[in-house]
Amino acid sequence: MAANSVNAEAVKDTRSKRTRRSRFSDQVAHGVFLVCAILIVAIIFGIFIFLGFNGLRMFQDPAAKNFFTSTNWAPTDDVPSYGALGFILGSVVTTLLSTIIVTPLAFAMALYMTEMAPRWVNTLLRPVLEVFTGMPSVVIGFLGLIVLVPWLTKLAAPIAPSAANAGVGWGAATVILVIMILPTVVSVSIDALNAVPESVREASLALGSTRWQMMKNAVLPAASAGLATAVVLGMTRAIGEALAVGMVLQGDTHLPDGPFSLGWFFQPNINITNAILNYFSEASGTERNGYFMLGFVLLIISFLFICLSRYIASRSVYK
Amino acid sequence: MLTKWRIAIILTALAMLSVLMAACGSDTGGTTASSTPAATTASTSNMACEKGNLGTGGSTALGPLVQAAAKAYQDKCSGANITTQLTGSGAGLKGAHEGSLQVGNSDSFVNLTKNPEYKDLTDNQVAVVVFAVVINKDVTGVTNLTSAQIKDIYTGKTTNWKAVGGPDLQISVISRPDGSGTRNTFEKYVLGGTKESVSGASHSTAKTSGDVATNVAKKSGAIAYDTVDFAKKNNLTVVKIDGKDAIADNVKTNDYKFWNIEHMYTKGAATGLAKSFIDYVKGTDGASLRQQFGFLDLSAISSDAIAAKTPKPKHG
Repeated sequence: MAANSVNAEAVKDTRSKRTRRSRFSDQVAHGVFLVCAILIVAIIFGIFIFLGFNGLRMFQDPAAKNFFTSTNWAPTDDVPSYGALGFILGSVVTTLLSTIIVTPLAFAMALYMTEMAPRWVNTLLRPVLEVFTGMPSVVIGFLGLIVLVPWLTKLAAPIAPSAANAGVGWGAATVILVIMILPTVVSVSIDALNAVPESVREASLALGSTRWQMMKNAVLPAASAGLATAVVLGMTRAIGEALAVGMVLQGDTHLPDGPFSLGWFFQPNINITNAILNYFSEASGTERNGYFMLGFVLLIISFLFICLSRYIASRSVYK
Repeated sequence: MLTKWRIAIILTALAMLSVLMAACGSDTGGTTASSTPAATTASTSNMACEKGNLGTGGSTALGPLVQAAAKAYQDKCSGANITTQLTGSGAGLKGAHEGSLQVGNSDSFVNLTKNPEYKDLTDNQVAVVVFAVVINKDVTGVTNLTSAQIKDIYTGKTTNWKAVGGPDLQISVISRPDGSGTRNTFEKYVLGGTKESVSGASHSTAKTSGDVATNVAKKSGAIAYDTVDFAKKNNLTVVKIDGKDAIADNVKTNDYKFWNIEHMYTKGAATGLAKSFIDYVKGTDGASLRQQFGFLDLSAISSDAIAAKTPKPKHG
């Protein structure tokens, strides 16, 4: 009996030792993850505060009052003007347009890959897509300049105000953005669709749905949160893209003359990142703060996009 | 199974790529090795080697020369580490003023009325850069433009090549961004102090010299400006300005106006590695490099011409 109790003691002892050890490693892991989380939050807030602080300083200059109301950006004139509406319009238009083009294409591709494609097509296409996701933007921009722009010049010359410049501007920028964000959106969409439980498909088919009805009424709504994330990831990449887009935009600081028309897409034009890329390194004073402010505006716009997608996702039928 | 397949496919793709590269490489492999400029003057010079780190940056026009000189300097003097950023003249001056760079390369003199804080920068003039007005090959029959014609084009008054003796073709005007050293020189000495004011559909902006070359070559009826060296290397069509060719003899006498002095600004007087390197760039050791990149020597230019490019001091 005595021996028995000693044995039990020993077992208890090693067990508690093991528990203590695993509890310790638990705490270490907890600490490490907490530090990582804090670091990420600190970096994000740091960027927000830095950009916001530097950007908002431009409004100390009374001439900067027209930032959100004017399209006249002329910081080096005798009477400086800081109207950034043209830049903002450029970024929003190209981003929205490319997203509108990409979304149905990407969803169709993703549906094909997850619901219809034979396995070997999947194994072949997935790696290709993933390689495409990481395509450096300078490569795409260069290809755009060499291949896309001359081609668009020929195509759009009849409707462009200047035949020689028909290939550059918002039109070319939109095509570049479509090429850049499509793989990202498709990739994330596939993951979202794959995450839909098989039971959803089976239930839908059991109720007598055709394949298309199953996709439309069961799979897509079930994956809506993930699909919205895919679109937002694409949008944020599109709005932040500078180099490739700048190479084919070629505008200075002015929106095209005259009322908004189709021709605006086929002549040199502007957006936020192009302005920052071209002028930030040479700027000083209020102008420099103005480019910080433009960067801040970009952040705010992406933030709004994300809010919008969260809202859409929250209305999902499956929760 | 799935992952194995994927790995197999990626490996196959990589293998195919490497075969392709090897195939292409064998054609050109022989020529690339020997193209480094030979430092022939090394034995005759008595340059003082300095050790340490040196950050230079700024002008994209002067950049290639500084980069090549940095490479040659480091080859000769072990322990020296020189970096060069091509960020634009304004950024170079700002870097030198704020201390992030030890040497700021600039195409133009510091403008103390615009940036009074730059009075702490010391000017080291190293070479003369020659620019050129270049046009697209579709523009036949135009070999010369007067300053007035160029000014009309860049202020939007002339929009068709017919008006300056060319074909009936719309002029597609290409600018560098405001603040570019090349653009400053162009506005100051070709447009006579007028700022570019052309805008609209036929006007576009190219960020770098490379973009300028691609655009001038591809855009029908295009006109732009860049360094003579770059225009030559990209086979662009150079026009005369006021009947003068963009050649050394015309620059020396300032008959050809589109050139400028290249500066390497330092905060205070240059010392140590900065001084040694600047002396190398402008001295006899750098002569072959200057020639290779299309720069002229300051000593070759007449003093009248230098004076014409030097801003008059305000007081006295």
